[in-house]
Amino acid sequence: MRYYFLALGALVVVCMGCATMDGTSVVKSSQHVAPPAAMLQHPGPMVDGPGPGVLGVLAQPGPAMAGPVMSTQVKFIGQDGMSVGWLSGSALARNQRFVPGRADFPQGSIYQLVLSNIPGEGWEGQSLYPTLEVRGAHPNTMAYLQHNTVPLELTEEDLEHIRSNNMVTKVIYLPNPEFQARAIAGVETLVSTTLDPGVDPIQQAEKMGTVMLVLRVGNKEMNFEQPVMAPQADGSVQPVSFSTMDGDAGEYAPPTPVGMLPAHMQGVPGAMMAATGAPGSHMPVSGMGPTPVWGSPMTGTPIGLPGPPHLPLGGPAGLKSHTIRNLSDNRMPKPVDHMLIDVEHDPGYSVPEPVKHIQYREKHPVYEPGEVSTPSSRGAVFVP
Amino acid sequence: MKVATRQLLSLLFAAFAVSRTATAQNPADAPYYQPLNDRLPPGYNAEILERVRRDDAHWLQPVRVEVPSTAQVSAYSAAPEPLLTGTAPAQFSVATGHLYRLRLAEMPEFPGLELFPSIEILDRLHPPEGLKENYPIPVVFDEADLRAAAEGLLVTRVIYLERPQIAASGDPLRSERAQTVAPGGNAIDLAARHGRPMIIVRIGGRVPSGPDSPPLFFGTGGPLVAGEPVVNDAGVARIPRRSPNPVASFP
Repeated sequence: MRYYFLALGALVVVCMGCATMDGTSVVKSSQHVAPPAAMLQHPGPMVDGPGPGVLGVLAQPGPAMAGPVMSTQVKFIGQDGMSVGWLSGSALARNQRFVPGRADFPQGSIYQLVLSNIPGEGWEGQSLYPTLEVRGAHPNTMAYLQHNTVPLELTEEDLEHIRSNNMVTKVIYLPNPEFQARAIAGVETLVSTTLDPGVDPIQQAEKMGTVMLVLRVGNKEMNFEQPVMAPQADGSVQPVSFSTMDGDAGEYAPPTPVGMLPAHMQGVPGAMMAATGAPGSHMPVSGMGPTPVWGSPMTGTPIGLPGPPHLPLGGPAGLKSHTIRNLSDNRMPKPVDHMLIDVEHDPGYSVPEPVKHIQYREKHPVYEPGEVSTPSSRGAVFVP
Repeated sequence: MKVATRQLLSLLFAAFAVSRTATAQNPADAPYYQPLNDRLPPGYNAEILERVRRDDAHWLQPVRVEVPSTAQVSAYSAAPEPLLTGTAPAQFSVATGHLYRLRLAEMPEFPGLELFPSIEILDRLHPPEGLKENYPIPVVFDEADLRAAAEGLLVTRVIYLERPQIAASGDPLRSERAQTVAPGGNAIDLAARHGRPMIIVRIGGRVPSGPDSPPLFFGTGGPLVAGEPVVNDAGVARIPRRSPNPVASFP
């Protein structure tokens, strides 16, 4: 009886399989898994270059890959008749589009918008100056962005919140498949005013999909007639005088960014490892490109001459000693001597064994005279 | 070891053996790995297949565009200017491994609406010599898809050629077996189980922003040749059953 329960327990363990309790995916041994779209173009997470043999064909030179469309088309809806403008270089371009209307914004940047002619009581003569953050295309959103406009709606409720000194953040994202009701892809919008206090709409949206747009709007009035301190594309802040352009007078200008998004918000993180020969891979060679020349002094010498301090330049070396002591009580951690980065696909690749035996057999039909088949649309007649 | 334990272990071994045998005997239930996915960036699937197959670059596959009633159809290839413009049903020939952009306008069901769907050519047909114009791949836009695209949704369709073993009577490119995949499902995987994926059609509401639109918006630059539409019949004929009396089976 003891052996019976032992065998029964073993059966239960086998049937339960390797189910994990830490929330990670459970994949049967007979189930194969393809990596997500974002990772199919790379052999592994944060690893680039030619991959294993199964992906070797992709590393061969061939026609240029279909690159992404580097602009997102935004469709402004919600307040019919409202005009939309933006900063274009040192010009404030007003009335460039009217709701409903659409405009293209290059990705990976932040834009300063100007909303005027807002319909509704109390908004006469007032303008809003929101910023629009246009995220870079992610492989998950690339097909959608190449074929669809991203709707950006300013509702009556949003305007009420703005009038009440509340800042409204609207996040437009493409839900992941598990959060989609049907297979046809459509966008969703998260609004900060509808979430619980303390909940970041961007973080919330990133849990459920891929963010494409972030609109931040408040009731701050900006006076572009006077020089203002404006952020530049390189991150610096400089005084800028703005001219004004009016779309009603036929003056149009494309939007230009007032800020660039950091690299980690531009989609898939870049590769940390790259095999030799991978397109775009950088092999650090001393003195080539951004890699400094080995052995070259990186700083000036303490005696005001360039070059290593031990080489006398034109005269006998008089300086025998030059000491600088740092007596600060700094508490710095020890440098890292061994670095370990763990990257992981969940679930990982699971590819069937390669084919090693093929049996090919042809079976040819045999017809008797008169059993000839011809496409019916070509006027053929079956002759019995 | 007790008899009961032996029986239990025998049962376990038998169940394991049967499951392995069943998997091996039924290929449809076997694990299937499909590295292609309709969610990949447009053009990626076609390019991978093109690199693997190395099709004849000079052979162009006829494609026939159909709409619910009438429409003006234009076809682009990596340039803002259309290479051809005609009335639906429009037929033209394209190369495998490339992405093309279409323009549908002047549709009576959607006044003032113009849509720019894309077609990604995955595979080609192998018609009889000299008759390829008679066997275009039909790209059919139905009203529901066009309406969904106009409302801001992205509709993805995979056109596949049914396997001859399971094809119903009629045109194997026009019957719809699986209309919708589940969210997160792989439409190419599903199509490959039923046959040979030929074209990915993506329909959305985005329009080019003007002459400054990036050339890649209009496709990857494959060749495109105009053609004449043929009769709406792919001409599938049934092979007569072998019978001792063929006259009786064909009255």
